[in-house]
Amino acid sequence: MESQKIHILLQKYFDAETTIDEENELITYFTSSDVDESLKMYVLLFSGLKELSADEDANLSEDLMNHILESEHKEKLRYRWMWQVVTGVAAAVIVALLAVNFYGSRNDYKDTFSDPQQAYTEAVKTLKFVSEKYNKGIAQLKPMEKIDEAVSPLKSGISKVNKGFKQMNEVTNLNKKLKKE
Amino acid sequence: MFARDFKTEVLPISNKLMRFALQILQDEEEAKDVLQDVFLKLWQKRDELAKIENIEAFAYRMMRNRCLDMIRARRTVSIDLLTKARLPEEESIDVDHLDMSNSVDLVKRIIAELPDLQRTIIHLRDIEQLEYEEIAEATQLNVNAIRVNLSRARKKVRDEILKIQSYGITENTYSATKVL
Repeated sequence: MESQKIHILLQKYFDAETTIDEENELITYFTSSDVDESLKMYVLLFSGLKELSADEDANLSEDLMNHILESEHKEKLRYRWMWQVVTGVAAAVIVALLAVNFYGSRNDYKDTFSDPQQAYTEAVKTLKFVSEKYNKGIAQLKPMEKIDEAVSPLKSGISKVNKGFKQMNEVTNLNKKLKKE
Repeated sequence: MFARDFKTEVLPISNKLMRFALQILQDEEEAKDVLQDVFLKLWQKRDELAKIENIEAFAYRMMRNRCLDMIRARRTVSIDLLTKARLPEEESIDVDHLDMSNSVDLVKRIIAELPDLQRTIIHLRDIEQLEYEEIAEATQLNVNAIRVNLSRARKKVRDEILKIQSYGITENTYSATKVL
């Protein structure tokens, strides 16, 4: 009676029309010790399938989780390294910018005195310093005075010559007038 | 999804996915690599997983795609590497050491010889016991196509087993090489 049912189930099984429950029924039947002689040839198939589905590695889940965590750790380390490089570069850029800014700002004019009187005396002091330097420069030009002195007799001589030329001019003018008359 | 939920909802399907990858790739190392990849992706996307209706089917789909990528990548490996890789494989096919009375090995090897789609479907149904709708989601096929392929796969596996059994013990070696 049961073998009849199994025959029908087998037919359905090979036509892919059985449900999971029916397939489990077949597996249970063929892995039992009570299989009909006419059906013995299917024992190998169903016992093989049953054993295959029980083929498990107990440590697999643990290994996988370890692998996952390890990869994550590596990834984190990589990110941390990248982060360190990026922040390092950023810090260097900031320091460079600050340095440039500092030296640049040194040339800016700033109100360094709050008291005008103090500023005035400071300005006078500075101008004095400048005029001192100026006078020093002028003092170096003193030898030029000697040249001037040396040139002065020439000046008086030349004025006499000039006077003579003027008189000559008057003579030529008189000459022209006489000619016209 | 919190890490705790990931551990209780996603991590437990790792064994199923490993069996699945092994069935497709037939290489434990590669299967483990793909499995680690897929789980890392799932972990990284754990916030989005809550929106996915069937995480298991989703994971199977990811796994299948990654395995097929792996197989495609294998084909592009230089001939030099291929011949090197094949040598130990040929050595390992030592028929005398294959225990054909071991139902697991036999069924596993027969399923491994099926075309990709049939192998995937029979694995998901008969080993992992997924519903048709879940297989549809994992393979992006409609239920009808899945039934057709499953029926073909089951019949092929049955025929191979019957053939091996009818040859008897002395003929086993011949059939085994055929199966391989």
